[in-house]
Amino acid sequence: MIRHTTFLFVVLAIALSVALFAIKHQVRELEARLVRIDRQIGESQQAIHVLKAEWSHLNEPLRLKDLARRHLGMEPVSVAQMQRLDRLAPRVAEGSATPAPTQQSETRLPRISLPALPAAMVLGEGAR
Amino acid sequence: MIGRLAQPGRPGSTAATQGPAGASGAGRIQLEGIRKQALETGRTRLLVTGAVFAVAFAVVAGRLVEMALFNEDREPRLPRAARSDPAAVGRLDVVDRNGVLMATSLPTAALYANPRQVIDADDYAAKLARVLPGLEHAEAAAKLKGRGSFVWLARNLTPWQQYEVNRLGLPGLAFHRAERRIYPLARIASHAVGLTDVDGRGIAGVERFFDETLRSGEGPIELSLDVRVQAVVHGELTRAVAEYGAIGAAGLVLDVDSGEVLSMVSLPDYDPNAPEALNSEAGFNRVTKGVYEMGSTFKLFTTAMALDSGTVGLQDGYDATHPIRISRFTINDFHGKKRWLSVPEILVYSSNIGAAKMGLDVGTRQQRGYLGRLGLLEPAAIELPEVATPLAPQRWREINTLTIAYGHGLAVTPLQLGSAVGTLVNGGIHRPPTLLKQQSGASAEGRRVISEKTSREMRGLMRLVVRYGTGRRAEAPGYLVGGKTGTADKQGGRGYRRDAAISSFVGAFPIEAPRYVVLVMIDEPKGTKETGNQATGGAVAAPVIARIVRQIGPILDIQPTLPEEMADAEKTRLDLPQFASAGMSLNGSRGQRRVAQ
Repeated sequence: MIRHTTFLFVVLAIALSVALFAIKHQVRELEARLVRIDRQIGESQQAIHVLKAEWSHLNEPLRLKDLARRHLGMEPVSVAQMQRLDRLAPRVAEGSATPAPTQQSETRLPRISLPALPAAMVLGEGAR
Repeated sequence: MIGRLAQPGRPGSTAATQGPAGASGAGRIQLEGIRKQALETGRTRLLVTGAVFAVAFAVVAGRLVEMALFNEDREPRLPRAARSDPAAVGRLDVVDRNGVLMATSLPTAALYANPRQVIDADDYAAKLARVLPGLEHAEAAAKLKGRGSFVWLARNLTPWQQYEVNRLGLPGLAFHRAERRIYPLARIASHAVGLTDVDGRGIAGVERFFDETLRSGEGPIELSLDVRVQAVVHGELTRAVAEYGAIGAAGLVLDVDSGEVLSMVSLPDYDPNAPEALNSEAGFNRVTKGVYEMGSTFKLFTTAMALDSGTVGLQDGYDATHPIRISRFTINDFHGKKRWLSVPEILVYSSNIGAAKMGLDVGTRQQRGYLGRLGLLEPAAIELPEVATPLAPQRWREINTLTIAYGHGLAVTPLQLGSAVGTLVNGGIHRPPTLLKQQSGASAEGRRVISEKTSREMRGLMRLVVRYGTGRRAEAPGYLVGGKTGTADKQGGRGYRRDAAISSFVGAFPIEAPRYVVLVMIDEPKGTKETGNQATGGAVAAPVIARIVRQIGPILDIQPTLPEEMADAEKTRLDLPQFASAGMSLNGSRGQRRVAQ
């Protein structure tokens, strides 16, 4: 009887020791991984910092203005291109004979022609 | 031994264990008692030890269960040394009001070598010269062949260059980490942001004013500048300086309600990334450090103080037929109308005679008081180290009052002028100009200088100047601009130079409910064919204002006034017709002749 109990406890002790070492090993590995990831975070943050400076440099407004003019044919917006919603001509109702009077022709919008760009770029989607 | 005693009569038992024969029975009981006691003690001790261990294991097991099941949120605390702290790069960033980086410190590497460990100096020099463009082959080879154990090869390597040098795999080379201050926007905001020297100390601009905060403070420093507006003003001023052959220019955009400076440009300027090319002329911030006699723009202040103090009303006026002669000075009009002019007409046609007489009526004491409250007699309290004190007369006599009324005799900085005009149009409250971003929406604290009514009248008058007067070329489609032109001859020797002037325009838009003050000052412009050989404020500065307003209006989210709404705005919100009754003809004709009072 005593022998059985002793045997059981010995087995339990061995099992617990094995489990203890296994857990300890796992914890060590996790700690090492944590330190490694921390270092990677630090390097990434530094890279982001450098990229932010480059982003700011590339976004310099006069440079963008020049690029937009050369490649997209864009000019600064003029007031003639703006209108307010409540001043737009009301939509013609279905089936009505006479269309609503249009806006005064003084506000002539300048002719704008969009260059032939792929749809993704016009909508602002796609890779930058 | 105790066990042996249990078997009596065994041969070989020691004498000590044998008691007297008669006492063996009693000895057995006694020894059993002792044995039992010993057994008991032993068992007790075992039990106690066992219990202690059991409790200890129970505690460990309980803690294990607790940590595994109940503490899922708490992270184990690691020693601090294990975590790298990249945010501590050193000097803080400077950003604009929208978060665009204006100044930042980047980690760079400096390359050094140990000549003793160098294998083949020429080979190294050749390879390095290929990778690092600034490195000379001969110079590098000479350094690598030297005697010492340490020699610098190159500084400020970019991360890419560092990678390439590493890839060469040459022993004896090493990197030293350093920091370098970078200004991604280069020239655009050079005067406002400033400069640092080689040791990382701020030596100009915001970099110097906030040097301590940048070294050891919190968070990026948010400036009130808007990079987009700054770029527009910078571009237009550069174009104007080139077009009119000027020696310099200053531009300012101020928020009238908060005093925030949205744009501050001074030309000539420099690239803070290459400060070697900096000369004193380029480093001079004309907006805050240059003091100039601003000329006719001061008539705005004279008119405002005359109206506010009740000295004159809009219906009153002065006779501008003859020039004023005082001791050896003559005050005359430029293209004068030579008749009686009402108060609005004095401003619109920029009459020196009329303004001087009006200033005299206001009186020296009141004039000085108003100018002081407008912030024109003290240096502006802005967050820059380069701020000039205005030049005022030591003894303010009648002649000074006369000349200051039309803008000569008191030299102020463009920043003070812009801020004072902002006070005139925002309802009459003076707010100090600031370069730091303020809380949006909340109007800054200020002190009242003129009444709400006077401010409204001034807004209308400023609109008249642009609509009918000398500021016609400042009109921007869609945005009602109001302001005042100024052409001030520069001082030369004992008198004034005829060939050099400061041409300026200070205005606010949208004038019916002003949000921003825009100021442009061109230093020594020369007339061109387009301007009809004129180099006045109305000819060279006003068109720049129009171009600036047209571009920054959409950026600053200002709703444009549609053409069909303009007449209505002028009538109801600015009440321009009231000026018609004051003799100011609104259709450009010569106006009525009124009896002089």
